[in-house]
Amino acid sequence: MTIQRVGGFITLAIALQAQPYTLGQGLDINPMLNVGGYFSSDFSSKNHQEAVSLDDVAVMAYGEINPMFSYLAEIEAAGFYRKNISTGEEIGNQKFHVERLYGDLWLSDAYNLRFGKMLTPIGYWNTQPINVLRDTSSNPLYSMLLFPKFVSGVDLNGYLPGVDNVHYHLFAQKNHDLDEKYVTFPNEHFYGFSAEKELTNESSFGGSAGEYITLTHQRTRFVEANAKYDDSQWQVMSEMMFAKNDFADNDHALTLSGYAQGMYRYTQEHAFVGRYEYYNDHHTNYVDNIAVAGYSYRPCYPVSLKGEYQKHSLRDENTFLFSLSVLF
Amino acid sequence: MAFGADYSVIVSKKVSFSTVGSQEIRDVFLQKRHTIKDQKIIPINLVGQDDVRIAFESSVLGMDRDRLNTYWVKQHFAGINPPVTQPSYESIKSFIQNVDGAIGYIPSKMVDNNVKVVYEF
Amino acid sequence: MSFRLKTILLFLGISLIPYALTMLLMGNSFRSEQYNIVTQEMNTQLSTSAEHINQHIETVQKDMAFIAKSDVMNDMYTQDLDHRISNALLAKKNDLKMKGDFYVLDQKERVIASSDFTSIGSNIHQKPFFKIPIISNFNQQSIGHIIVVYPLENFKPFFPNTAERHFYIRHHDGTTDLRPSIFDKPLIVSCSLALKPELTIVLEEEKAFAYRLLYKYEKWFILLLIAGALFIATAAYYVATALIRPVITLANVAKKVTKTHDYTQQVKMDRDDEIGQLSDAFNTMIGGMDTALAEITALNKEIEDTQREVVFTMGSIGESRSKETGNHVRRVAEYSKLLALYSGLNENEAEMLRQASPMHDIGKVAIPDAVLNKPGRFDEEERRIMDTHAALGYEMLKHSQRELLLTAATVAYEHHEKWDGSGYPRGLSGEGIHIYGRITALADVFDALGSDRVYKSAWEDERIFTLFRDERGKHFDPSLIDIFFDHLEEFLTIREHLHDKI
Repeated sequence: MTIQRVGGFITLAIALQAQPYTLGQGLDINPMLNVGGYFSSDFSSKNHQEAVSLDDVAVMAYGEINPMFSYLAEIEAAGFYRKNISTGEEIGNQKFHVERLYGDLWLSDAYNLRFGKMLTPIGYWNTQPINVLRDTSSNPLYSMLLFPKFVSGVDLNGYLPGVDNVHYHLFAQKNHDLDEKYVTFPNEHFYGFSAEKELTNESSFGGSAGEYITLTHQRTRFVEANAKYDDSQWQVMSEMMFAKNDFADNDHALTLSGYAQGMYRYTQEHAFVGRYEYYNDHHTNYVDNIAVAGYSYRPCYPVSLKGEYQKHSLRDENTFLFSLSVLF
Repeated sequence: MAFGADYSVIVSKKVSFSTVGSQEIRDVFLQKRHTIKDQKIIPINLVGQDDVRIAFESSVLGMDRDRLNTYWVKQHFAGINPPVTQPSYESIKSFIQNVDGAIGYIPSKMVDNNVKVVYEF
Repeated sequence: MSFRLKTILLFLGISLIPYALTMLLMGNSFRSEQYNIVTQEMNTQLSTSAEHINQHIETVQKDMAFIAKSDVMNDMYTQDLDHRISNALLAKKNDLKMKGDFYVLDQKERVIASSDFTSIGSNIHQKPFFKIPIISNFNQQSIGHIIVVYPLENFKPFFPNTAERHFYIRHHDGTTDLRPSIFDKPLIVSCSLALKPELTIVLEEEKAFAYRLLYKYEKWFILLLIAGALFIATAAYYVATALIRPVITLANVAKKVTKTHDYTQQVKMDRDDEIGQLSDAFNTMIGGMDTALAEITALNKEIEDTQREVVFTMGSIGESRSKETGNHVRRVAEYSKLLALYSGLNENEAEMLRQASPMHDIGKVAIPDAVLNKPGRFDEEERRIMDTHAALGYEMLKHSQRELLLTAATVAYEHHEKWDGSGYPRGLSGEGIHIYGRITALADVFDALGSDRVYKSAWEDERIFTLFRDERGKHFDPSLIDIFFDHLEEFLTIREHLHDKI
């Protein structure tokens, strides 16, 4: 396709849209194809090391093939470019990896079968992992160190029949990850069940349980709980997980981690965020208490400018972070 | 019909149910659920920011514009599109008459015998 | 047909046939090469145009498919109340700069939306160029079609027509569109459209234009052919002339030789080649002929001489038995010749008579001596025997084929015949007696009377003359007697020259 052809194509697509393109909601070419993408960039200062980076460049496409079947595909290059300002060191990885790739088979509101590589449906943080959708630049340790970020397998989800307003996920993975690159714990064995109850329009709570076995044959079983309250002005959410890791020589260890975050939306564009995180790995005796104070500015929702300061109980982990991210 | 309700949520006359709760309407318009009582539902929004839509969003969905925008951006990341739109009440009504399971909202005074009202606000 | 003409024709034939063949073959190969070049170039142009057209209609088709799947097609359920579909179709039509219109039809083929707003609500009767179904997003069923009515004049911008070469469209059934004019026997190339196989794009070029180079050269070829033929004919003419000259010379000499019997003539030709050899041979032959002729002549002469001598000798032999002297035979021969000449015989006849005459009494060799040499008078029986010598002589000589001997036979047979018919052996008379016989009779009697014989002595001349006068018309031919007396002197001279020796 020539450049003119692509341009004409996009013009036609836009001309044929029922509503004009809005930032953050993707380009709706036709019901079978919606295109979007995002990127995030940040500046960090930790231990007197300053670095600037362009993280997370991604492109995604999704659509509805027929009323029963839809799909999503996302490719991402993380760590696209990083420059350590103090040392002048530059690294980058422009190679795109498959971040998500799945199809959905909708049978009813109670049963929807998703298969492929998807975000592990545990809690809130893991399902909205990208910078632009977060309220702080950083992720709580809970979300990074305890369970696989992605599951490559099947996920049966829907509204639990017979129960009022409870959305569940029942997922299983018994094969290799589809593109291991960004999977926090590559594994061949991952099972779990999660459920979320929406109490009111503003509040919900839920929990999950499961286990996984890493490729190094380390088994972890976990239990998790989460709760959220979100109205126009305030948002409060908290998650925590107990994970029991089995080691060789019949050793077990517990890891406990969680966070509680509160956000005050001063106006639609400005918000203040505070978060407390706890991380305790009994096996390595790594304990960290982290307090984060952040500020977020969104000229419009899909564009996010954030700044935060992290105070760690562990020395030398205090960090300043600024970030800019956009979702298309 | 409750006297004084300005807007009505309408469906095709052919559907089996005759009333719908606001929660159910909310769930379909937020694309969380796709059926009401076993009928596959196709929600229709009005293009733009007409009064009807604002009223619908605040009273039925319980979300203001900004919150809705935020919601749909998050849904976009999750691969979910907002409902299809039509540019006018006439076309909403026409659409609903011709597509089984379509559900939309129009001013009550436009309601006639060709459509069924399932909710008013 | 003369040698020159033959040569000219031969040369023309030999040279022009390969020339014409070559020209023909060259012409043919040039023609086919031209054909290949032109059609190849035409094919290139054709495929370029066809490629562009294919791309263009592929674009149309793809855009239609795209539109068919887009969100805005939901408006079919509202009968495109807000004209969103129609506007999109109109935008597409303008974007493609197309003649013709897009239409969205429902299940009943009624127009719901169109780039031509006036057609909404009615039916379309033109045949669609493309027709693509529209599938509903909600129930996966066909809810209508999007069609395009695409007049073929949309192809015009892709046809760079000129006066000699143009494009046109041909349908499956043979009808044509967009054809600017009809060419007479054009060069044609064609190919069908990939997306619309029932349409064939035809590119044709006027034959005269395609082959214009060829026709230009053709004229030159023909001119060269004619010039070549003329040149060859002229050259052939001169070559033939040069070749034939010695032959003519030889022929002329040969004719001259034949006419003049001059075999000493020679042909002068200083050449080393075969013609020279021919003339040398000719000369040698002429020389040889001359020599041979001389030999033959000599031989002939010798034969004649031999013959003469033999005859004379035989005559002498015959006479020798009767004791007449040899010169009697000679004298008789000379008298006979003279008489023959004056009586109108030609030299040859007279000469033959002269040579044959000595044999007139050859029959006497068959007469017994007793009779032959009896001094006195013969009695009847002896007379009869003696008289048989004429017939006998004739019998001896009549079988020969030599004219001389046949003459001698006649002379022997008839030299005793008398004018009045009282002679012997046959009693012929008058001119029934061969002139040779009459002459010999006179000559023989003249010499016999004037010579001494065993039975008598020589008579005096007067007595002989008186006898002759008396016997004119009786014994002798009167005309011969007249001749004798007219040329008496000559006869006497002969007698004088050839008198007997004692």
